[in-house]
Amino acid sequence: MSDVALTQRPLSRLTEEAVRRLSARWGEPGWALHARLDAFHAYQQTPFPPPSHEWWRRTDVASLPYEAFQPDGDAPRRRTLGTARTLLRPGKEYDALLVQAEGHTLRHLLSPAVERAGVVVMPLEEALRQRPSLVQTYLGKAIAPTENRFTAMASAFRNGGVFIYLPRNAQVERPIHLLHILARPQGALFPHTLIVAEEGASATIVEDYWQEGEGPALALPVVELLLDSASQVRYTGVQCLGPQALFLSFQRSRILGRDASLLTYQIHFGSRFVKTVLENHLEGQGSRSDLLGVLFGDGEQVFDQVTLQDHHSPSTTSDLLYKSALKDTARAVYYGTVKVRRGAVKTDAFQTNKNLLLGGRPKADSIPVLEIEADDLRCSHAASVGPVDEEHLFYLQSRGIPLPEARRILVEGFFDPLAQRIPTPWLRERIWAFIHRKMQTPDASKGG
Amino acid sequence: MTTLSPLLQIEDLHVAVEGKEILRGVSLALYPGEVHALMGPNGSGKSTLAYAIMGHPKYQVTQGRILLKGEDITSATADERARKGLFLAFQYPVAVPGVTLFNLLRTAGRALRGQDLPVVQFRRRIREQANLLKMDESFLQRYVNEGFSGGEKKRAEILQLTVLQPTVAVLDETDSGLDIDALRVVAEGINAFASPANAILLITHYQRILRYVRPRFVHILAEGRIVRSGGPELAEELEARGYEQVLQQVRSQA
Repeated sequence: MSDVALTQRPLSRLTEEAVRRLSARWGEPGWALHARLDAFHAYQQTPFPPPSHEWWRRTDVASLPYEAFQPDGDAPRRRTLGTARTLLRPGKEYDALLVQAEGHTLRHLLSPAVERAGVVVMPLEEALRQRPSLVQTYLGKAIAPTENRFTAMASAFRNGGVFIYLPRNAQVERPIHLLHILARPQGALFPHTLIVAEEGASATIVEDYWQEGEGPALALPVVELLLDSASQVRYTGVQCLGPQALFLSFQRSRILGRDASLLTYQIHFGSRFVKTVLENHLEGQGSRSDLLGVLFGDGEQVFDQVTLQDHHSPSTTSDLLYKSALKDTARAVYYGTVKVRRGAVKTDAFQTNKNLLLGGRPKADSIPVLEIEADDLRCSHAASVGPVDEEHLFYLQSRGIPLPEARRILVEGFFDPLAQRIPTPWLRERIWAFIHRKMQTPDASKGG
Repeated sequence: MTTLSPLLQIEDLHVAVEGKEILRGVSLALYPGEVHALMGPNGSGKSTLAYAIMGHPKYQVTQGRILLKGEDITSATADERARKGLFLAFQYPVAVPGVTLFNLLRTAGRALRGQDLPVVQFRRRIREQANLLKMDESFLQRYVNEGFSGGEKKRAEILQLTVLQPTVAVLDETDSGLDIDALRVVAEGINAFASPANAILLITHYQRILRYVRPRFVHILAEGRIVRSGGPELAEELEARGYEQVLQQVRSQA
């Protein structure tokens, strides 16, 4: 990533003072400050993941100027949403809304029905004060702060985040909408999302990452999901940051209970550089996980996505479909592993990654990996990289449709099966708008 | 009267695919209201002619020309040809992932007419035609040809023909792979389309569809040339004697 146009600042903004300021800002209890300081020391002592590791060899994350970004900026002067306002629709369409600008809560709404059901949707810092034992039971159970340099960095400088707790059999009908706004120049966002679904609970969660302005910025979210028996969670992350942002995310789900079901959806349109590591662990017998991903890259965007479908228990199912469209000189790497552990018999595991190369000279690598330690299972993977099919174009043209429109239709058709599985209509509309905008944007790198 | 000039005229057409000449001087004229059957053994160049008429970029016209309603379309793109009134029903239509049959019809309809038909009216028309072809309406919401059986694909092609109403239709082995019931339904669709205002080039290997769709002329294509033309009786002769004998006779006469 030596080509990222960001200047390395000599002075680090990721300091122990910043850690203490952040802890003090929310009046954290002593144990929470100590946890931050432990993470800070781990951050200092842990090297970047080595490029010899398959997950880390294809883009150079070590050279990015993380320390140039400021995690502990003051509260935004304006308490307004700015352009993020366009993301919010009338209250009818969600059961909970939480908006944070670099960790400062701007909106926090819960429908009465959800509140009555005992559902918790609150800023993580608030939850640490109000529900310390509940939060402590689960925090870090999927991702340990010291796991790698990035999780340590995120835990030390956590400046925002959400705790969602779905009690037994709680049914949240409308989406829970979380919105993180990066508002300040050179700002750093380290949100931590912790989602716990007790037995039989069900919810749809949309987590949005948005930037005001187009300057350099850093977002490094950590997302943990813990699912108990027969719970059903649909979790979608939508990243639409500006063209100079860096986005690195670590998301791990543990589907712990029997017959639980999790849908994870990763949607990326923004940022200059994106690195995501997403793991879904099927630990409960009979559990199921669908993994969906959409991205559209243009200009000089780089996306490097890692996924893991990890089958620990028998009769588990995972089904992954990731698609990317790329134009200009955008680049995408997909590295996806299906792992079936010893004893995880009767596993069904499927993985499909498709990359559509549009105008310019984009590039995509797709690397599927199978690690199978069990037998008696069904497992398949498919990967493709290529331009729009000439025979498809000819077919549409033979029906009178001009070439540019035929191309557009085929790009839409490429995404249509995935768009249909976006769990909320307003998000689906927004995704289509983004796809159309990306299709129309002329190549910025050619403009000179 | 315009009916005196052909709707589709092919003059001394030579076509090469990847440098190899497949068609070596084909001439044909289709007048309004006419159905022409083009028959020939495998490898004779039937599909090449279909693709060349539609303007597939891989099929290079090295000599001769194609006229549609008197206008030279030899170098026009496929979509331009379609907008001038040409249609090709493919022998092996591709699956178009993510595009529903309804969407394809609506987009094509708009492209051909230059404007949208009112949705209600258009929907009704598609439904009527689908019923005529005994296609379940659920097909309209499925992705084009994806997971369709051979017979379903052919019906979908004919549905597009009857909805889009071209002036000249080239049907490339629309009968192949159909069982007798499906064949009859597809043939009825073609007959419903045929009118004094349009013309059909029916490309087929077998004579059996010609029991349902009666051609005025039958042409035999062999080794890239039309070696014999005649009336419907020529198809019966082919059926009775087989390609080999008929072609041998042609060669001996040459």
